[in-house]
Amino acid sequence: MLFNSPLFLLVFLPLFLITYFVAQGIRLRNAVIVLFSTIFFAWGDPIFVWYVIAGTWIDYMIIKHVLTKPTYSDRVRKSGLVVAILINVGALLFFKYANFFVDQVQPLLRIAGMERPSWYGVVLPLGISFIAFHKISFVVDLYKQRTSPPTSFIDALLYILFFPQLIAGPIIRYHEISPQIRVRTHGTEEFIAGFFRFARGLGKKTLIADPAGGIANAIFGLPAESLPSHYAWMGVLAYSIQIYFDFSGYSDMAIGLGRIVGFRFPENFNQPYTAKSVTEFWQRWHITLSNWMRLYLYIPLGGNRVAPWRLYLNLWIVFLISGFWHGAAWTFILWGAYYGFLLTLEKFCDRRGWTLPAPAAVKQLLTFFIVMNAWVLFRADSLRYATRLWGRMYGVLPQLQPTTEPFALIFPPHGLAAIAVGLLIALIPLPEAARRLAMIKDSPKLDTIRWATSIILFFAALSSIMASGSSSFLYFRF
Amino acid sequence: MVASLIAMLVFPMLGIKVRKFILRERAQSIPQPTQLWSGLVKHEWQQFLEQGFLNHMGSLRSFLILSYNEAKHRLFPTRPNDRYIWTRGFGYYPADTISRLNIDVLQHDAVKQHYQRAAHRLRILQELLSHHGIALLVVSAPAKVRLYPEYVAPYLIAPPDTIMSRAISYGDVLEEAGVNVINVQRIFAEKKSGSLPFFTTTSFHWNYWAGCTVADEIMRRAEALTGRPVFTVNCSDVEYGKSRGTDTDVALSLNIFSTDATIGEAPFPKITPQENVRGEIPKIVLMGDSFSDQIVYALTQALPDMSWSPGWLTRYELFQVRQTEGMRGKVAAKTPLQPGGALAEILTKQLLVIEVSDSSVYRVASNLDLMEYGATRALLDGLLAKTGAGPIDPKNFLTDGWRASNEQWRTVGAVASFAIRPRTKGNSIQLAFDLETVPPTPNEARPLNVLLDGKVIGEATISGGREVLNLTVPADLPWQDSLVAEISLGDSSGQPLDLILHGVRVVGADTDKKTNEGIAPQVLPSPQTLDRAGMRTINLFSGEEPEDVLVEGLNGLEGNGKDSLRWALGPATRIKFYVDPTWPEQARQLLLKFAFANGIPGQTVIIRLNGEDIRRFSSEEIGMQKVVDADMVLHTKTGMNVLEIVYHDWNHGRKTYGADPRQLAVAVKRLSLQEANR
Repeated sequence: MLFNSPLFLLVFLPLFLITYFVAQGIRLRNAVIVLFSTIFFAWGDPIFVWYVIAGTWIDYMIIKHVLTKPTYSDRVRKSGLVVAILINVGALLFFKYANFFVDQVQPLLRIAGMERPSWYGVVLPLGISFIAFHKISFVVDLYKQRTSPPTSFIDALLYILFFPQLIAGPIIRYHEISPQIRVRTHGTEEFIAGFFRFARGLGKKTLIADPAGGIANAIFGLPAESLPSHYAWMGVLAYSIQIYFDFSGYSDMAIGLGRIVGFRFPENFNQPYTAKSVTEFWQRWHITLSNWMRLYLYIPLGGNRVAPWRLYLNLWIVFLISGFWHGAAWTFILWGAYYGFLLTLEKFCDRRGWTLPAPAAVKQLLTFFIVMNAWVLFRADSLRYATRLWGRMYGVLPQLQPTTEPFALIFPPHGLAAIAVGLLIALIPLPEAARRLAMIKDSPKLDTIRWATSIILFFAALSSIMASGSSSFLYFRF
Repeated sequence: MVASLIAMLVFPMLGIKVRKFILRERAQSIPQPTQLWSGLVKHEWQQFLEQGFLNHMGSLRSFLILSYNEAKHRLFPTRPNDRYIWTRGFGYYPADTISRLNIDVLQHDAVKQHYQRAAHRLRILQELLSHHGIALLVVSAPAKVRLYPEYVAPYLIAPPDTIMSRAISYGDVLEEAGVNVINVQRIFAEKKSGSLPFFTTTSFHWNYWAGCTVADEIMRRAEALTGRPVFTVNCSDVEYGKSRGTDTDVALSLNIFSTDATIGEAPFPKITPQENVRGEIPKIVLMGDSFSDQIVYALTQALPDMSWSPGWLTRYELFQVRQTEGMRGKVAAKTPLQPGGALAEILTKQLLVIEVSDSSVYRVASNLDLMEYGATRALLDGLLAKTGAGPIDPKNFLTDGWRASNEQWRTVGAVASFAIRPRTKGNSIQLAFDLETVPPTPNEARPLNVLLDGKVIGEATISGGREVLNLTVPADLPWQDSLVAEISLGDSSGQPLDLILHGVRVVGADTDKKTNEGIAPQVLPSPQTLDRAGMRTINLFSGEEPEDVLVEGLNGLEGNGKDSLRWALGPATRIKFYVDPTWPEQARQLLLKFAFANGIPGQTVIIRLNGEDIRRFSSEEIGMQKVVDADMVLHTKTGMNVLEIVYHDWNHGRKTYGADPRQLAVAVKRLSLQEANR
């Protein structure tokens, strides 16, 4: 079920909220969340939901009977952790990467006279990448004793299945949320602040991301070699806006939904396109993924406390894995390698005290330019398409065939307006007061404004959904 | 605040409906899944419930959609949605038609080659149908942008004044290939200056007036092609006013509050039935898309009442739905069309019109079989001779360069052709022609060229006189079309062939099963299966007026049950009905059941059939308010019959009997026609 589908907005959500607030006591309310989350997930993937429930039960049992048993030696506990991680990583590898690996070894199979294995064509379960990361966080945090274990299987399920963050994050580390599973506050202010955040996310998705996506889809749907250079640039710009407002919109909705029922999720975006370096960009973009990678991958690899060459290598490995996590394709691997290289380069320069002698605005535009180029890899269906598109962007590849779509036809004013508004919002750093109004500081005085804005945004977005239909979120495919 | 928020979210579940907010949309209903678990896994239940909820939402959904579209329409008037472009000069244009025009310019050669293959098939179909006495006429309907490109210059790949000369045109290619075609784009382009507009500001289709002129052109061509008398369609009486009907289809589909403000003016023809035609008009099958609506409207309005017969105009919508046209445009029930049955029915008609609008013309070569709604492929498949051993019916084999006379097929000109299905496997086709050279060509040996789709592929020699010419068609020829190939015999010196074909057969027993797999079962014309062998009961009190009956001078049904009545209006009630010549003699005797009550002093009623009085009810017999009930047998003639019930007086006739403005004569209590011997 999509957050932006009428059934979710007008049936599922009200029913959930009514049931949740009618239920008394935190345990019952947690059970309500689990029940509705299961329905939510089963609606989209009625088979994989059972795997997730069963997998969580296995994790829960390992945690309960191995990882948190003080009587067991560290070796036994570590073995339990390894088993739990292997199960979760194994499932991720199988469901997400099995087809990719078979495709890569296909020429060898052919030479050996072998057919594709019978299981080829594995269907990608909904939200598996995010679920796998949550489950790894679950077992590692409890192994590391960063927080106390769940009091019941329901609480464990709540962490994994909680529908706002289930499919596309934010990636919440277990130790961040486990206290809130036991104790959290509810109130009108929280409700309104949450609803405001949710409506803002819905507006981002439907009023900016979708119209910009219309242009991006049209451009990426044409043969790259037929695109005039400015079309190629506009297509990438449109996609840059689409993916930011799509994903940050989803995160806003997830954070808002969580807040309505008393959860405080970590922020996932902080105006990433205002970053003045690639390093800063990754501190502002998909923040919870960066944090997860740092805590569960970069630090175990040695973190900053290693030799410089090793540090650079670790950085590069982390981003390579991050790229591969996004999708089983060479484009994503290259995308990760691209960022790994740039971050390593920045780290290298930073350690030597080399800085770019340019105004902040130039650095910001340069960073945005670098990010836009990376989005080509992220959006293209193949490396061949990506290289051809770059070729057309920079005029290196000649326009082999004329485009069939004049500018006025392929760039509708609605989409262009969405891109323009999106650029303004994304590129101009918000003044502190506006930031406070928008997301950070809660104030009862702002409630009325927030409520009115929420209603307007909600109905504007709902109108758009009704008229144009609900489109899936980009990050659902990861 | 929280409570109000929840109330706001719950409100849509109530499904409140307000008449003011109406959407025009083609929502496809999703059937309820039959199985629980597999329906869930396949997401059928999810789609069904989501669709069900949207339907349940009522006017809130309509209001939201109308609001959004209105806002977009105001903010971005040039692109109110993805489907349409608005221009100040000439209103709305469908965006996809503009894209297709651009493709026809940029991919000119590839698209032309594809059209040529389609034209080749159509010409062969035309030849084969002509052997069965059916004329084929293709109507190529242009999109608005092809006639008025000047208003959408920013959206075009070339300047508007040159784009049409650079774009490949389906109609032009068909014309060049020798297909009977009404190339509407060219005709309209020639008449564009100083003429009424062919499209409205708010229409996807050509307007009713333009459709009327096309209908008139169809009838003119029908006369020339079938040799039968036709009626004309007079489109000269034009009313220029606010667009209506499908002339406003784009405005309606915008789904905005201010629909009315977007609708401009358009010419609308006032078509009246033409003078009766002497002789039987050709029976027509009109295959097409929504551009046919205006043609059908014009034809049915112009058709003289007495020329109507069941099945005079049968419509195949997108080659998927069959519909017969009743009198004055009344529509018979639509039924799904079976392609096999279509050929059988077409073979009982005289004219097959295929209307193809721009949006129905595929540009991709791999979609060749889908051209003309897939009909060309299906009909050729049914008509073409099988490649198994045995004699071949020349009607399903010979194409260009032959003339049938006295049950013989004689060549005309220097080239004579025949159509075969290309072999898909290794076996060659061996054909034995029983030929005879006839004067003035002397009986002596001469070489003939053998051509495949116009290209020389070999030679054959005929010795003169009557002989059997064996021709082997190898399987490895460079077939250009997997469905049909045309092989020709041509005199190498360019002299007339002067041959008579006594017969032709496939020799050898190596039936190519794979080639024959796609062949439709042998279908023979069987009009009896298509039309009833007798009249069905016409009960004018059943609430439904059959499409094959035209009633004038009879008001609508009032009351219900036993007390229901229909007011007959002076001076006469006329019922026109059709008696099929194929019905048996006894089926032509009909029983008229007629009961009425009278409130006018001195009233008389005369029953008249085809101008002949058959019963007179005197004023004494009728009386005042007395119900007169009479059954009478009518001896009808074949074809159209006119039953008249003539009244002596009526309200506002000789006198005014009441304040009712209607010309009330008698109150009819019963009126039906049925077979007398049933």
